[in-house]
Amino acid sequence: MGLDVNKVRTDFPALHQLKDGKPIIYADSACMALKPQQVIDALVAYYTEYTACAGRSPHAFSLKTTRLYDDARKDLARFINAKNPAEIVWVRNTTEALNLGSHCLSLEENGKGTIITTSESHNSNLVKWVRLHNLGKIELKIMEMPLTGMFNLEEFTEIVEKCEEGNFLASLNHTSNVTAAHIPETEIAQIVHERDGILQLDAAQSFPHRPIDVQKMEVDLFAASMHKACGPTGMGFLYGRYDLLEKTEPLILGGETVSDVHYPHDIKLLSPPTKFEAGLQNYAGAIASGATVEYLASVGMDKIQSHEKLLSRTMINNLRETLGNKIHILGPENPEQRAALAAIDLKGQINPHEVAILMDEMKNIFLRSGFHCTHAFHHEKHLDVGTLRPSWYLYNTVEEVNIFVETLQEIFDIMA
Amino acid sequence: MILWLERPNKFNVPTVFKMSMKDQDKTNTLILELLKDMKEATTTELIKEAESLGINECSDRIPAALAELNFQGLITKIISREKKAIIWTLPENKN
Repeated sequence: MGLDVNKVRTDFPALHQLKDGKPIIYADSACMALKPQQVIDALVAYYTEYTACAGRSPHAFSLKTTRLYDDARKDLARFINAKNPAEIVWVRNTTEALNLGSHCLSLEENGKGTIITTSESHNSNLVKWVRLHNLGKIELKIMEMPLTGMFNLEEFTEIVEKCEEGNFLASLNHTSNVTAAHIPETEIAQIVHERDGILQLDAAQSFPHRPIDVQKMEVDLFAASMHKACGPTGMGFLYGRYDLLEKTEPLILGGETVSDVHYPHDIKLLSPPTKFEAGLQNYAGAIASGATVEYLASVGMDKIQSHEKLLSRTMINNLRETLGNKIHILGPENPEQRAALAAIDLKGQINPHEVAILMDEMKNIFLRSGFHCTHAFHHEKHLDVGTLRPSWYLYNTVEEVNIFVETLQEIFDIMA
Repeated sequence: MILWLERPNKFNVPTVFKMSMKDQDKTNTLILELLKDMKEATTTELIKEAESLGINECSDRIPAALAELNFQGLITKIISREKKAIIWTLPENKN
């Protein structure tokens, strides 16, 4: 049986609202997903019932926080099939996770290592590398991606072969937030591992939408945010192979990262994941992250993925039918190879920002316009006014997708 | 730019605090200034003008600022079929 979208929608209070007497069509989930009541309840329960630090005080509130904080890590580890909950590091978001992941390269110990990324990378998986390159700390190789978003394994192999063995990190978008294309992660992992490199995936757009098995994918580092997966804001995680995390320097040091300190120079760092989680943590966020994966698992990631394929197919086919050559949809032609989002080039006929403003006003359709934090890719492809990007999730219906397409057609009729 | 502001908080207790002017505030101010000079402009024209003045802001934030200023009634908009665009203007410039 498929996903019961009407039942799912009852879990999301934001969808029960009306704006100007009309329902809301939320099509901005690639930026921020809506939250189910189960996640909201977990957040509220922490603040109303047992607010305390984990692992520090011996009272009942603290014990409950510790237990639920640990459980959330275990739930997430099971959800992505990590071997060990200690391979999950809580961070604020994908950006922080990717920054932390790059420390696995141990730049200073091994000399000048190489980071490989692609031209469609989100700024979270690009800006830091460009900065390090400009400071002379790394070699940076950016593999150019076509507008179809299709990953060229041969070209990637050639780049990898030019890197120093054992001294490079391939940090790649698992699913692109502009081309909607997925990369062949298992083949890429083999290519990277043959030369003893490290594979890091920016999973911001994959983790919320498809079943994940980090062991099967043979990925070394896997970075994602909870806010795109119906979870709390300001929470994300880095999965890392335990042996790799053991060798990795923390981004931030301080309380909770050490077992002991002696003057003048002696600090003893704790084991992963604790050494990476400095200072008082976002306990409510972590516990609600546990509730998030519990919620997604209860709906079923296979069902979510199938439902999104239906939405993607509907959108791509209807857009082609109604608007044809007036627009260009970035990414793979085949809807089956896409995530349920589309960056649409309006070919200079209408400004995508104005379309987004009109969509909100005309039909309460909430979506994103512009560069979607992939400025470099848009500039490289001469998409200088940006693109219009609807993105769908488990709570969206085929009817909503149809309304989006009809409204875009209507705006074209008015303005273009 | 660092400003020292003195203003009462909601408990009517005078508070002095240090506040750096946020980039979004600067963007809003710039849009209002530009519309004062240009009388009316499309989103594309405003973004181009802001960029030519060297605004240190992601251009994606300008439309959000326009929508917010419109919501606050500080600017208004009409759809121009001729220009195939939204025309933004200050309420006093309308007509």
